[in-house]
Amino acid sequence: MFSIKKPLRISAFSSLLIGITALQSCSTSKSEQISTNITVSSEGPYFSGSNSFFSEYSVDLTSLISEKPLAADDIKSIKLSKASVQHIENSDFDFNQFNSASLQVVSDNAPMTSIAILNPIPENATTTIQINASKEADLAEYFKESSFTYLFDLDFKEDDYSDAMSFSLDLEFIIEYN
Amino acid sequence: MNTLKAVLFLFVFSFSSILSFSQEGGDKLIGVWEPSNGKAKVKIEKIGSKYYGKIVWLKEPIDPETGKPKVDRNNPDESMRSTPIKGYRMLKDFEYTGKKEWSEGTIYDPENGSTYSSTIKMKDENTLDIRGFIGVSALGRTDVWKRLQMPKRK
Repeated sequence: MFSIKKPLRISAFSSLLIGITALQSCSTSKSEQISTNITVSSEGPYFSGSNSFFSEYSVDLTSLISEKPLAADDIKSIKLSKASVQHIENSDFDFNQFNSASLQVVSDNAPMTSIAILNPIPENATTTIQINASKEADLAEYFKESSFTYLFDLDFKEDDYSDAMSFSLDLEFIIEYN
Repeated sequence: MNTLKAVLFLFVFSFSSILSFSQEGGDKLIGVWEPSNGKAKVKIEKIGSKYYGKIVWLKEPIDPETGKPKVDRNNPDESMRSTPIKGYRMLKDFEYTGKKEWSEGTIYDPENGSTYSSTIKMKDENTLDIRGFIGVSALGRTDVWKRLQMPKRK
């Protein structure tokens, strides 16, 4: 009795698998490149070693991608693909006064995540640098919150007694969504 | 009605005072600390409502293999392995839970690239018990950190 029903069960199971696969192919995720500009700043003086610059970022899921307003559950992953940093204002500035630069994100509800690093800063760097994006860091959790903080760290070679410094960051992300 | 308002005001005032006192207690963690092995000094600071510890000094800052400043060569994310160890935040995301304890954080060991769950207990103003563990707190190790004493100005 049991041996007669077994092939039927296998057949039903196979049909179910085919059905699930078909459903999955209908709901394939899409991706889009998005970009944003932020300004990070902090007040001096700055001491030799790592100094931090901050920027609060408000998330607006309704205008994050061009195709449609997103809901938090639509976001599958967001990865940084490109980050360039430009110093604002000071004309005699150049990035050679720093050893390295890194970018993190931080919020009250998600663990701090490092998303880009440039070490060492090339000797020919002037007023703009490109920092290398992490290939693994996923910011989906951050973009599901109403806001989070960008934290830009610069490792100063020497003490600097400027009153304040600001940097403009052009960031590009690849977002995967449903 | 006025009595009710006064009671409500007192309640709100007391609650906010307790909250503010509790947060101030958490800030006692801020400062520069030295782990028991004496290999590093870690500056703990507050970002938002959480506490983070950044390596600000290394006994041996140069990697003998490369002759260059040490980098995070064991980072599980290969693309981030050029991150300098000096300046690295090895303590992350600690929340003050009251009673001189901070929890929900992680501690990173740059020597093997492992991240452990971690809790901090302040034994006294200048001594911390920092416990790193995997899974449950019982399966872990505690290290004693001492606050770096700044020389007093005469």
